[in-house]
Amino acid sequence: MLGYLVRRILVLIPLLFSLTVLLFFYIHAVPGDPIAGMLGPDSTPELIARLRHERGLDLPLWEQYWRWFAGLFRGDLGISLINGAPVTPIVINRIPATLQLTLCSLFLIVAIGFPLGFLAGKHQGSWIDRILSPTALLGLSTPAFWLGTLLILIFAVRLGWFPAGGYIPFSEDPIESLRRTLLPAFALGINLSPLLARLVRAATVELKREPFVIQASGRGLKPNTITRRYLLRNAVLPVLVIVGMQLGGLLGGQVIIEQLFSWPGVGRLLVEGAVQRDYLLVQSLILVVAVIYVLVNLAVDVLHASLDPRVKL
Amino acid sequence: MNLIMRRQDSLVDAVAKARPSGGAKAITLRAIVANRRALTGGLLTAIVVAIAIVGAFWTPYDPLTFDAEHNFAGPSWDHLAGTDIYGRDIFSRLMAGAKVSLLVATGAVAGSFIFGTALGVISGMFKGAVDAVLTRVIDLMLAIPGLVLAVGVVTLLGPSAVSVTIALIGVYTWQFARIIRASVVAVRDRPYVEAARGLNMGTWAIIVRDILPNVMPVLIVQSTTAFAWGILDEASIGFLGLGVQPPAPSWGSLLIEGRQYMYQAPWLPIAAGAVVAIAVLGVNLLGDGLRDIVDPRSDGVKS
Amino acid sequence: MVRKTRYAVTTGAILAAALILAACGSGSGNSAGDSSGATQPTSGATGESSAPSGGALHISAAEPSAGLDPATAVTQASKRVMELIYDTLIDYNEKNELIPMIAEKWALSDDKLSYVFTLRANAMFSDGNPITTDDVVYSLNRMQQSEALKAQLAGVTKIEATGDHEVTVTLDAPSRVFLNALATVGSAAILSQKAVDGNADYFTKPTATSGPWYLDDIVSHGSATLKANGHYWNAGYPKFATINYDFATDSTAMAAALETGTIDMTYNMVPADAVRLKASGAIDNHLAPSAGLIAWGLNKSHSPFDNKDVRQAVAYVVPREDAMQTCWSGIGPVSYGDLIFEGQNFYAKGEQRFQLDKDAAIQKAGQLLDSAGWVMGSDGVREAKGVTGVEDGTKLAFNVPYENSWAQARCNTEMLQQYLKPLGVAATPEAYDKASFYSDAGAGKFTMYHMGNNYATVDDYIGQTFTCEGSANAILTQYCNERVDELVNEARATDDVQKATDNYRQVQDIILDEQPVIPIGAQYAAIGTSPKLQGFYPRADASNRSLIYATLG
Repeated sequence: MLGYLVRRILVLIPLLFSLTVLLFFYIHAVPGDPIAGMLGPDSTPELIARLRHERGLDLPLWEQYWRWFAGLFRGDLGISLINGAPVTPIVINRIPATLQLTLCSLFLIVAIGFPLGFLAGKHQGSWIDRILSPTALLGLSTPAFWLGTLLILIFAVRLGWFPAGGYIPFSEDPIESLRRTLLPAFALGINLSPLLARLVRAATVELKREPFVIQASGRGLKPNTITRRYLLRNAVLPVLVIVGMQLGGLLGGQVIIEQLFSWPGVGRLLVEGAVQRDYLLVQSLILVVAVIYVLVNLAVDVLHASLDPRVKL
Repeated sequence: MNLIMRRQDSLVDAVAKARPSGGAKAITLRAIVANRRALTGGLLTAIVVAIAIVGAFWTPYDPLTFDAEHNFAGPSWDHLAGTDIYGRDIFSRLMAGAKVSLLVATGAVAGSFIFGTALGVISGMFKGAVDAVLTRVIDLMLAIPGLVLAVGVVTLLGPSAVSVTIALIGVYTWQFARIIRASVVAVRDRPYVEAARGLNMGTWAIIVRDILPNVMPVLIVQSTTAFAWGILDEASIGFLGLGVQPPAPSWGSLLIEGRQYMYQAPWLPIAAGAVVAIAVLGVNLLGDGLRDIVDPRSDGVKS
Repeated sequence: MVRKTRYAVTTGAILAAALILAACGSGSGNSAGDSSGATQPTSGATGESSAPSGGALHISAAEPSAGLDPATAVTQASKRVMELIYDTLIDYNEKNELIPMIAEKWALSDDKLSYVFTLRANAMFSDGNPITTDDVVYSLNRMQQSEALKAQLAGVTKIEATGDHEVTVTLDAPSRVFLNALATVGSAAILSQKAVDGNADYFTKPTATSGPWYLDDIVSHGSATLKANGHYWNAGYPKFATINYDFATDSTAMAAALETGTIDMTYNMVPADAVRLKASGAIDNHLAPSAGLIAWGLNKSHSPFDNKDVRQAVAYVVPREDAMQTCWSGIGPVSYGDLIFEGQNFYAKGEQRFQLDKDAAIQKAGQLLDSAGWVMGSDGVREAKGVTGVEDGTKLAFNVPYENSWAQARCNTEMLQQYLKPLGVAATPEAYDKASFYSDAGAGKFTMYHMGNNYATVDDYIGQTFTCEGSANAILTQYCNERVDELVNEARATDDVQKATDNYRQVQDIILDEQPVIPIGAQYAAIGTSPKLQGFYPRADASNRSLIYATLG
């Protein structure tokens, strides 16, 4: 187990290092001068030269890379090309909203996906199963922005039960905050829970065939007890798998949903940077998201391996 | 996307166990009609493609003409999907936008097909250092979530249909490469390949004659899946304002307008989103069906 | 397996709890949701410190990306923040009259060349230090060299402190508009010399500022928090103790937030939203009737628009009322030839030359084009026939760029395409990158293009747009007429409002004939506020300084 962990981390280090190298050249891959493009009509050669100097763009490449790389370890993600503001506080400012949406979405994914998958698996072949499966497929294939739009149309515009978006910090007004989180989390939940439901269903179906379950039935245990004691507990494993798989994407990549619901998360920040052509903000953000993704996947794989003896390390 | 890869892994296993003449030949028109999912998906896809082709030459109304007196009209026989704030017919704009979306998706699939297959085959066939390096590169690129990477590339190149296509190629190539490589690795040690080597056939000949036909089923399914993703991602990136720029109508810009005028014209976002959803659903179903045809055992979960 | 499952669930629960705590914890730290009461900045200097009646105002608007340096930050987004943290010597009231701010009173010398400003004794910066004549002289010098006010203050020859609370400014010629320059919100800020000179990065987070609020915190792509200046000279003001200023880019979201009451004010409203919400009673909609115009820029250095008749012809046919109605939801005046509109200073109605019905307009325009040598081709597009310097058969077709981020410009340009078609002119809209739009327009790369501007005063607007040396002229209008310059300079110098009005009327008549650009109307800013906001009024310079006197409910 420890060996597995060490091996995985050893592989991870060159990966992350290569990532920084790849992303460092992002700014320098811009066709044309990034500073001139950003300044637009207000640019004069002196202004461009001054800004290039201020942002350290006139240093030799390796030295620029070293500065940036060393800064990463201090938590310094660089300075925005647009207004010289440090990037790290900008990103940190987005964390609460991102975390809130992630947690609520995960909760809904499990709350919707697990019971449905479990029921479908337990009553395999019955009318429940036959209805739930195509429904799951529909939820899975519907684009997130359309789901979100429909939810807004129905629940915000027509019924007026929820606001059409926006974010209020939980600490400021818990009820309002949760009200606003519900629709976007629901959109994500409907979109992503079918994956969970499928796995849970498959796991439950397999479990029903396991000797120890059949044996329990033979011993005369009531179906409910069997359900509770054996099936439920063991069907939890796929939940962890799915949660792990989705966590990385939820934390860093929910660009569409955040845009639709005006949710000030990390994904939306990426779009803001992209629209403004703030190359450094985009660069640092991609790095942050990729690192989160990689680390979360590693953690989930380790957790999965430690829980499921069938997984060979 | 992870889950899709895991499904494909089992498909890869199935392919490895299959006979050399492989599953690609199983994809016949009759097989498609017989498989419910492939049939439904195929029909939907065909409808969308037909609309796109027709839309390139003719639409009920000019997608660009303003008709301010009839703005925000609801769906009717005159305007199947209603009109927008400037009185433009939404259905015509959807038809015109279909062309762009499908072109971008096609371009993205074609590009990543070529590059991904090349990478995967080279990595799988030439083992050793080449394989090790390429695998690391593939892993590296897969570490960045797809839409995030695509937005990054579009930022560099400026928003346009071409840059979206390039960005999507940059995202899908690695998935193709990974899948192809796994297929190639599974097949390369089969007896008939050994035999071919024994007969001193050139590496490229082996690749073309023996490897590729076996990899084809995986490629076909992966291409279909990527096509669905391409439609979806093009619309998504357009929705973010980073795609095809107006006045050219695209599904992405229609989604933006839909959101802006949700209160005055709810049929706009419904129509725009429905079209994208149907296209994606259709192509996905087709892909699922094709995978079934190629190997009925690959998906243990019946849906 | 069971034990491990329990272990997994416990780990998951702990992880979830940790994440929740992190979310809540950082939420309170970084959110802009602080509605505490009055806060007094430290520093033991004497002077009045007023306790605002409290309450927080929640604004959502564009981020001041151009920064907060009055000398260089000329964008509206920056001015909206600067006007809240910096005071000027003079300001405007709701009737657009000049009122004293930091300058308690001012006197004009008999030769009309010197202004003596008397500063308030109780004027203080937010750190409690008094605003001295040194600070005012320093700030005025800075203004004179600044991008923002260089042109308006070009006639200033001497700035000096002439007393404990007196500053005298001398001009080289009498000017009616000099005081207006000093009332320019944001740009004419009075800064603390000590504070600015003492910190090379002063403007990343200005401290010791002169305005009714001071900047407590600012996070890019996030928000800014403004707190009431306890040392502000105007006792009892500002009423709001805190302003939470969220930076947003999405007009749809801002409108929705205003509608649900999440925010109290926004001023980047899409006209359609503003009209809809006002109609439903959800918001109050204030219009800032700022001087300026929306027009079609024309490249007059070569064909086809080097010919005045061609310009007139197109001017007959472009959409005017239809464009204002469709694209701006009827917000803002329509121009049929005027440059200054009803409700603005110096308004005098002139010939409404272009107010013809569509068919008559096309006929008239067609005649003009025919006589200019542009005849209708077989494909419905006109072509040159006997036009000097143009090969016969050249089509009257060109691209019309517009700023791609300006939705109304896109609408207007697409309408233009439709309206010019029957005339035989093929105008193709082109979405142009905002970053390069102005420099390329100035470099003469476009034939016809969409332009618009807004200014604080009519004098500024006419001056910058139509005089040979005007800043907007170089980039957008590209027109130099000595007679126009003469008329404008006279208008700016004279005290006589009627004379100024007459001069501007003559300028408009010249422009009507020459059509160096084709004005179709003006864009008024739509400011949406909560119905509970009292005491706020919009101003002609689009400033929100009336917030000083405003309260919520």
